[in-house]
Amino acid sequence: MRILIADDNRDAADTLAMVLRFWGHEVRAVYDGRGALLTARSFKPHAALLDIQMPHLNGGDVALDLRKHSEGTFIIALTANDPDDPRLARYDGAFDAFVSKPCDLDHLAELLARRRSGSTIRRQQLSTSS
Amino acid sequence: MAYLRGQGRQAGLGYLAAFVATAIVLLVRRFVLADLFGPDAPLYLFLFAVVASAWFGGLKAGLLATGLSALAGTYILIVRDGWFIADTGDRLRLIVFLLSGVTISWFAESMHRSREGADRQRESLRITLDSIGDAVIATDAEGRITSLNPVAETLTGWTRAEALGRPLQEVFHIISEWTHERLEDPVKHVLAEGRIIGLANHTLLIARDGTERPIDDSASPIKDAEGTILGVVLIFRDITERKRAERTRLQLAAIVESSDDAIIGMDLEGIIRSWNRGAEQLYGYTAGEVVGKPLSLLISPDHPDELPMILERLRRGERIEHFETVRVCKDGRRVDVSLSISPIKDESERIIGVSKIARDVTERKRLYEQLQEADRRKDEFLAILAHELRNPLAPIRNALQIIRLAGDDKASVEKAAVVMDRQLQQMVRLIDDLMDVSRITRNKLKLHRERVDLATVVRNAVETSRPLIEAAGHELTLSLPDEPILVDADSARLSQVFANLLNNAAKYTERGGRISLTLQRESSHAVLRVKDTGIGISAEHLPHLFEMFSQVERSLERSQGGLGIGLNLAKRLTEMQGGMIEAHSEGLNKGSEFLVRLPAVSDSPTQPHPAAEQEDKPGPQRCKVLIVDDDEDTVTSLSIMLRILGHEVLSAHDGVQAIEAANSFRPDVVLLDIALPKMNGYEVARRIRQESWGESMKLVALTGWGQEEDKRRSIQAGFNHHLTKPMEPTALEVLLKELCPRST
Repeated sequence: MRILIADDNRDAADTLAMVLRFWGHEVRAVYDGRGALLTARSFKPHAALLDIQMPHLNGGDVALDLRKHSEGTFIIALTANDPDDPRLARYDGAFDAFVSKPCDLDHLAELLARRRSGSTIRRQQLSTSS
Repeated sequence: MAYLRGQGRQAGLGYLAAFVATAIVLLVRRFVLADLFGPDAPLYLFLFAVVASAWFGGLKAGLLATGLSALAGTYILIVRDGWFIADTGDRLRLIVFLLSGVTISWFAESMHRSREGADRQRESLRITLDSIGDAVIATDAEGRITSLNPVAETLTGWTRAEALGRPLQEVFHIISEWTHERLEDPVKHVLAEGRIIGLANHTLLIARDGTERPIDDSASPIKDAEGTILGVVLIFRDITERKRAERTRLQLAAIVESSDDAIIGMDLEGIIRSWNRGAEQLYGYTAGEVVGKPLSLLISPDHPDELPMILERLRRGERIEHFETVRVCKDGRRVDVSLSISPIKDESERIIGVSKIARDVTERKRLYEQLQEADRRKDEFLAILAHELRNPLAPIRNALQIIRLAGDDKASVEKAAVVMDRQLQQMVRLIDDLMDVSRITRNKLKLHRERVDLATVVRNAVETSRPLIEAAGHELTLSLPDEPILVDADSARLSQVFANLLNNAAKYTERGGRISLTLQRESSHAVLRVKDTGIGISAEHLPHLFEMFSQVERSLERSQGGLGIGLNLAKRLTEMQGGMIEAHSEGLNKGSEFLVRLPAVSDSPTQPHPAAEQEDKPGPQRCKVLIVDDDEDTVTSLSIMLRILGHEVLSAHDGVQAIEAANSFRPDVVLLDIALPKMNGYEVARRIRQESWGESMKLVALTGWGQEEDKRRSIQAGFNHHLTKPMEPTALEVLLKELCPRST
């Protein structure tokens, strides 16, 4: 799958990209919201992992924009916040799933696998296990 | 005659007297006075009998005597034959006699009556006096007691019988409560001045048995119609109860007056009846200004129902506690108060008024709000903390995964390791900051102050912050003075402060901004300025900038990481070193400038204070010392001592370790405990001496025993010296001075 990662913490973005590459995906990592939108246009990712708190344009707004332009993209929010944080409420419809940072990689793998197999994912909020 | 005077009428005696007197007169007339008077019978002699009878028995006795006398006189002395008196003259004389007799009897009767009336009055008065609650003593014009009522008997301890006739002072013994001197007899006073006298306050009456009672009294003269004083009546009462009540009342009044709380008394219509000093202080009105006025003058117009509501509840007998509301003072100022309101009841439990205690709670409210604010910020801080500590965890976890997955891909593994390192450092730094703040708060942060050139500190700080500045693409300009500026400070901590300012400048400025740092001397101070072209600070935020947990309001877009404690920490660290830190900004998006001011010192940089821990700085005399002992505490305490003295220390815990350590560490001095596991100290010493590197090593034996015998044994084993435990620090110091080579 083509996966787009956006996170302003470069190390987080890069390392996650490396892991996903090891899993066999084609990955692009960007470090801010605007970059995410730009790259998405040309890269056309199957899935996008977006950090919420980024400068200029946060992950939520990116998600809303992506949702408008590319229907099929599986959008996952990566957040260090509490998933029940009321500030995230406005983005509820934009994301297919919420994952808490640091993300449980097994869980992430599972999500991506389901997406790849094409089964519909119920849009829901998920908190990290562990 | 006194006997006669004192008696009342005696009817029986009167009748008897009538007969007897008549008989006596008759006999006397007939036999004794017969010659004098001849046959003529003066009836008037019988008048004596009438008088005597009437004297005793009043009208009836007198009439009886008159009758008897008339009969006796007429028939025994005058009438010879027949039943009637023949002579007209005799008849006339009889009629005159009868009239006289009746008149005398009448007068006697009046006399009796009036005496009885007087007696009754006196009796009635006596009963009255006996039954009133006050003590009454009456005296004559010479001051002798004529009457004493039961209350007076009780209070003085004298009975009526004993007291009558005595001079007043014998019975009525009064002294001053204060001086305990005998007070002047009031009766004398009255007799002298002829008017009502009241005794001064604080008089004590001493009863016959010695009991002292406080009394209140007044004495008045008894005068007749001409104004002559016939005597004195003294009225007094025991006022112990009253004094006690008075004292209690004064105490309570004093308590109310001296209370800092406002205590206000009100009647059931809401009119102020009492107003203490606390109320004056709280509301600004004096008692004179408000007593008699309605309480509503204190209540603000936007609470019109408050007073009626309060009065209503109180009429029902309810108390109101901790009622928080607002009141208006004399100067129009509003004050937050907490009220406790209770009904005032009389003895029959009827509500007669209202007592209100008002406490100014403005301070308390303010503190409460501050506390809530602080609590809120702490909660926010914890949330931020959780968030910030989480941030480095994601890359670390990913990196671990990479290492697992990478296999032979060394490049990837290396990258992962680098990332982990970096993120860990970030976490360490965060936690260090936290620890610093915690330590400062608990006053446990120690500064290692020394004279240091600020330029050096600045350069260190710049090095620390450089990665962040460069990563954000900022341009940094440094302006440092030619002359060194020296301060007495902890260079590491100061560098921390400067780095913090530089980091902030980098974080809170848009990419490609400009940061400038200038250091210069201004009179006796060193001034450092860090200026940036960043997002600036709003005017409302500026005053709170250096407070704990303050951070520019975090929106989702603009989070820059960090706990919000950096500036607070910087401020505290600066102030601990005698400096000052300030912030300036023209406003949002207009950049910011931070200033640090430190007192400059003039001498050249000197060596650090000898008491400070010296890990890396060479002291005047420095050895490498190996401590070998299996006892932890010994090793610890010796290490500390040695480090303070400026030496480099290593430790080993058994013989085998000792030899290995001696070989690798090559100490100048070895402090060797004899009682070691695996191999004892003597053996260790021998082995060391056998080695080439151990020949000239100074070996010191440490033992718990110090007999001459043991010392000799140590020397034989190859030890240079022998010390007994526990050892004096000075002994160790002296020994090491001797053993250690002096550094050049």
